[in-house]
Amino acid sequence: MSPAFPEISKIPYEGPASKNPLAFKHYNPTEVIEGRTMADHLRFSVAYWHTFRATLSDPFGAGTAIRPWDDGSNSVENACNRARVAFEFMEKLGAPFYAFHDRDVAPEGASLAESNRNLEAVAQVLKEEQQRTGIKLLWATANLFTSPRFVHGAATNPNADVFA
Amino acid sequence: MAKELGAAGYVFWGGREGYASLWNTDMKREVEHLARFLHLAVDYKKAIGFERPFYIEPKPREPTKHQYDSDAAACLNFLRQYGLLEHFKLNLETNHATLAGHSMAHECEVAAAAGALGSIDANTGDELIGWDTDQFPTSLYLTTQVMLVVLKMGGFTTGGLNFDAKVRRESFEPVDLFYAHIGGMDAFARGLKIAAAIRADGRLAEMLKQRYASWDSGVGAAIEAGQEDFRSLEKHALSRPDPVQHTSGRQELFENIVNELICAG
Repeated sequence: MSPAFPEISKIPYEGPASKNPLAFKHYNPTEVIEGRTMADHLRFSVAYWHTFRATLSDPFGAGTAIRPWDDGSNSVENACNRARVAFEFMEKLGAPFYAFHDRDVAPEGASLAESNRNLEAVAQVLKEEQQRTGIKLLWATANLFTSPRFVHGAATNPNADVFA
Repeated sequence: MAKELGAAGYVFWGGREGYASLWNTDMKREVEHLARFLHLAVDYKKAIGFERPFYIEPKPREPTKHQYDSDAAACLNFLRQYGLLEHFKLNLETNHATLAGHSMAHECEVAAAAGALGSIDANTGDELIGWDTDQFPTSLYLTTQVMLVVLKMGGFTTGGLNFDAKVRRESFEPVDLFYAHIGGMDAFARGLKIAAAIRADGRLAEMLKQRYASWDSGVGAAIEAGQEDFRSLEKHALSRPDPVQHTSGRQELFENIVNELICAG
């Protein structure tokens, strides 16, 4: 797989005098403050949904995001490729953590069983990439708001089947 | 799956757990169902051996007209009422705080005071806009205030600073993703340094302590220790000179010192 960000390598710390837009001026992960490193105090995490799934549309306009690595389809293959791009980004940025909703990382299927299978497939890639890079999952969550089945709520839905 | 991938925690943001109209809603019953759901989640967590914390993320509204987990105080009340507080911490987001009519510093203080500040969604909103803009945080005043609360509580254990923020629709190139995150990370690193400098400087803490000095001894200490009642306090009040001497709150001086230390960072 060719890199998604070929012109960008690991973002360095260059200090407050730097004018390099692709360098940190203050975030020096190993610098110690009150007995702990900056990395340990701050525990930065990247949000999978905003950074790797947002098309940048708004209620009045179509998406504008240029994301050449994304084929625009809802396939598991696209989702797996996207996961590898996500880790390339986070590794270059130097973020130690990430967070996701289930529906960010894998496409919903025609049935709950298929959705679960899709999630399993992408989870494999995420696990490999976590092991390769040392980047960890800060937290995960479930998207219980986008699908029309949650129109009246998820846990608070008047229909008990939706709660289930 | 969270357990499989070694997640340090699990979040619940109830985007649809609220109402669009009270006319067709049984709010009490819905809130009870939410509590039941979270209890089932706690049971399941125990059953599968997932030993990480759960977080609730408050937001007052949007997409609902009113979301039940509205702000830190509402969440804490809900958790206490339904016996869930021991299993949950809060995940606070700046833009959600301001939508609820609070500063992020306020929400952090409320959660930290309850020992429930678990994690933070580091973003900012636009206080002149009525919806969740989820922008990257760049204000040093914001990041300094947040890091002061984080340092005071002893730092994150399982949580962290998650950038729940998106680049603007007009910032559509891949490189913008880097600029945005670098900015947010630098803003918080700088806020951390300034917060540590404020703590090391000590003036603000000393002035604050002085303001409450009358609670550290005498009748103040006795009230805090539960040794006074209305009768004994009436005796005390009758024995004191009238009127009580006040000292200034010195808000402007506090703000001047904050400015001095932020600009020095």
